[in-house]
Parts: sequence; C-alpha cells; structure tokens
Amino acid sequence: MELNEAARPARPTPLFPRRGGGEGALFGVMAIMSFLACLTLALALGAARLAETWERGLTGQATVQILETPGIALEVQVTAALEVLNATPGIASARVMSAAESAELLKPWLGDADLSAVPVPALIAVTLDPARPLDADALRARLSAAAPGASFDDHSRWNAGLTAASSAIGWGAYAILALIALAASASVVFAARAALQAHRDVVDVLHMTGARAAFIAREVQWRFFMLGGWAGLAGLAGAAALAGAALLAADGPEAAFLPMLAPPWRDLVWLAAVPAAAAAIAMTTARLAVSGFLARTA
Amino acid sequence: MIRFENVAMRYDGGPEILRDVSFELEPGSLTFLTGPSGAGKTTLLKLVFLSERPVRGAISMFGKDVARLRRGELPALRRQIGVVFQDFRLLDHLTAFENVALPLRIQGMPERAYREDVEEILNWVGLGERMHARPATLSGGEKQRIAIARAVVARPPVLVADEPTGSIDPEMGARLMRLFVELNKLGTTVLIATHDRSLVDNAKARELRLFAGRISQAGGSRWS
Ligand SMILES: Nc1ncnc2c1ncn2[C@@H]1O[C@H](COP(=O)(O)OP(=O)(O)OP(=O)(O)O)[C@@H](O)[C@H]1O
Ligand SMILES: [Mg+2]
Repeated sequence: MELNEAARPARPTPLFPRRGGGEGALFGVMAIMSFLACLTLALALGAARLAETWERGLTGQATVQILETPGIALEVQVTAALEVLNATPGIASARVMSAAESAELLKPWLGDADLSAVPVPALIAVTLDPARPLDADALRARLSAAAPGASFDDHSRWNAGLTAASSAIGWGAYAILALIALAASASVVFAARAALQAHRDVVDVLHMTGARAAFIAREVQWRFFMLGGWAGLAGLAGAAALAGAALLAADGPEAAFLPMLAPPWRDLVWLAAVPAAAAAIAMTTARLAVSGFLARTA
Repeated sequence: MIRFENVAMRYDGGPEILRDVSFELEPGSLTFLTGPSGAGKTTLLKLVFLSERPVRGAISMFGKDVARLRRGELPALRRQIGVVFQDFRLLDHLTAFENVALPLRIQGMPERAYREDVEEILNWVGLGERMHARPATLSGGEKQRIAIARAVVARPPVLVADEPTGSIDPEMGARLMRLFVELNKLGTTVLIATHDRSLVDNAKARELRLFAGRISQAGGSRWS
C-alpha cells in the first residue's frame, strides 16, 4: 500500500475500517455455529429419512395368525378369515402361507424339532394397500367373530415406537437449530455494537455529515452479510470434511446402517442453506443492532 | 437563517460555558466568531451544527425550532450545513478523495456522478496530486484543506468553519479565505471561528466576540 499510495483504490473503501471491530472473533464463532448447524441439520434430515424408511418397510406388511381352537377345524377358520380379509378395504392381498413357509419362520425359535408333533398355527401373509388406511380395530373385531383363533398383527407397536423415536430426534434437532440461530444472533448483536463502539469516530462524522441511520445500517449490514456467508461456508466445509472422514472410516457394510453419514443429494441442498442462513442472520441482526444503537446515541 | 435567543450551554455537570447568547445570521452573510482560547467558540459552533443542545434558550435554523426537531429530521438539516472541524475529523482509512466525497456518498450518489466535482475542489485547495493519499501521510495543513474541501463539496447553504486556517501558512490561508468569500458571494451563509486577526481585518466582515461566555458584536454591518 505504501508503494502506490497515490493510486485510486479499485472500488470505494468501506466506510467502516476492517480492523479493530473484533470481526475475527465473530467469524470464528459463526463458523463453529454453522458447523454445528450442519451436523444438527444432517441429524434431523437423517431422522426423517429413517422414519420414512420404517414407515414404508414395516407397515406394508401384516400377518394373521390362527391357532387351533377346540370345536372348529383350522381350515374352516382360515377360509373364514380369508373371506373377511378380502372384503376389508385397505388390504391389497392376503395369502395363506404353506406349512413349509411357516416352519421356516418358526425355525429360529424351535430349531430342528419335529413340528408334526406340535400344533402349528396357520399364518396368512397380508399386504396392505398404502393408498388406503386400514381400520385395524374394526378388522380385529370382525376377524375374531369369524375365526375365534385369529389374531391380527400389523407390527404397529414396533412401528409406532420407532416412528416416535425418530420424530423426537427430528424435533430435538430442529430445537437445537433454533438455539444455534439464537446464539448466533446474539453474538452478531454484540459484535455489531462493539464494531460501532470501536468506530465511534466514524459514526460521529457520518452523523455530522447528515448520514441517515438507514445508510449507516446498510454500510454495516453488508459487512456482516459477507462475514456470515463466508463463516457459514467454512462451517459447511468443516462438516463435509468430517462426513467424508467418517465415510472413509466406515466403508464396510455397517456404513449402510448410518444413513445420516450418507445423505442423498437432495439433503445436501438443504445443508447448503446453512451458509445462506448464516449470512441472512448476520445481516438482519446487524441491521437491527445498528438501528437500535443509533437510536440510543444519535 | 440561524437565530440564537438567550442561549445557555453547559457540558453535563460542568460550569456554564455560554450564557445569554443572542445573535442572528442573515442568509448570505459572512460572520466571524472570535475570542480567546477556551471562550466557547467551538461549543457555540456545535450548537449551530446540531451536535449539542442548549440547556436554556431557543435556537432556530431555517425557521425551525431546534428543540422541536424529530430525530428523523436531523440528517436533512445537517446536510444544509457544511462543517470544518477544528480537529479535522477525517476518516483515516479513506483516501483524501474519499474523505472529500463523503457528503456526496452518503446522499447515495455513485462515484462517477461526483468524481469531477471532488477532483475540482481538491485541485482548488492544492491537493490534486495527493488525492489518493491517506490522512496519516498528509501534513496538518494538508489535512485541514481536505477538511475544508469536504465541508464545501456538496455546496451547502450554510458553512461553519472552526479555525480553518489554524495549521496553514498565511499565503494558503488567504487563498482559502478567498474560497470562503467566493462561496459567500454565491449565497452561502458563512460562519468562521478564528484567532487570526488578519483574517478578520482583511475581510471587513461582521464579528461576534465571545468573552467569558457572552457575546458582543463589532464591525462589518455591510455584511449582515
Ligand atoms: N466535551 C466537553 N466536555 C466538557 N467540557 C468541554 C468540552 N468541550 C469543551 N469544554 C470546555 O468548554 C470550554 C470552551 O471550550 P471550546 O472548545 O468551546 O473553546 P474554544 O473557544 O473553541 O477554544 P479554542 O480557541 O482553544 O478552540 C473550555 O473550558 C473547555 O474546557
Ligand atoms: Mg475551538
């Protein structure tokens, strides 16, 4: 700068000097916040994706189990149950499993025991129609009227538990995101006030020259916009590096169980919103802080 | 244009610096404000450019009672008043050119719209060669001339200058005084605070003398 001090700057110098406003510290804080926001957002998106997977995978299927009941032949009960199932809206198809299939299902529990000696329940595999909701309680009532030994299991106990867990994770993650945004705003408020305090002389001269509060706020807000955006990108880059390292470390089949670490491209778009949000938060908060500051000091 | 009635001023908790100050500046007038160091000249000018408020009395500017101004009205009013501060108040990180351009920049003008005007006034005060230097590399007199150029660049109807020739040799002082007289002839109302007797005597303008916080008037009625 000393060498060509007589040269015109390429573009007008910002009215607030870069140095002395504690902006390096704010950059660090905002980058860390953005990093945490990326991880939290990935967690929220991963939880939503898991819930979706469970919902589709488990509710698509149900089973009806029919136990031997004294007085009624098992075959009669099976036929009656099939009739009820086929007449029920929300059920796409129902199929009686062969004795061999049932035995295969029971094998893990019974081992290679001779099954002909024990009463084996009949099983009906039911495929649900995803387009139409099923009234499970009404179905149970009609099933037990037609076939006293029948019981309907749509895995909903399992499913409800998993869905509740993942939606709790999702909401928790969004709450954490809100807290991160709040903390980021607070640090921007402090930094914006500190910057104005440090450049009190500049503010005074601008006032005396007839600058409006909105003009001064605009000068400051673009600085914070850029700072927030770059810090957000730094945080995103950090999160991406961490995700990459985790994927490399877990490249075996177990990586398939970590859907949060392998987000689809759709989710990456959402993560790109983090730097944008950081820039927007920094800008609007700085603007509000400056307006408040000027209203108290002008 | 500017009217003081029984104005008193004190900095919070301190003694009264000004008391019972009354005077009026007619539009297009040239007025000197003189008095010993510490008499309160700068304080009086601060009241004129709305940086301080009086504790008693009434000030009206452009027909408006200053006490009744809303915050939102201040910027527009301040743009009517060009100020040369005794301590210059240049922005150290801006070039001379950018310092001078400041009043135009805050009005939202783009650089290409004001570049010529700014360069012209910089040439006039003899700093055309140094327009992209920063204040830290300029002499006291050069800074003062930048401060003067900044005060006049937007052609405000009122010009207030606090010791505008304090750091300048007599020759340059006379040249700058000619600038003020020229602007005054074009209709600018000018108020100059100074110790410099020769400045006052040569201009034969009206003089407000400040002593022990009170005003007395002398000379130059043809200007008022
Ligand atoms: N911000 C301030 N707070 C408290 N007292 C002040 C302040 N500014 C000036 N004073 C006091 O007010 C009195 C008048 O000061 P002022 O600067 O108006 O004098 P001046 O006539 O401009 O002097 P000079 O010719 O040396 O510039 C001085 O006694 C000074 O100490
Ligand atoms: Mg003074």
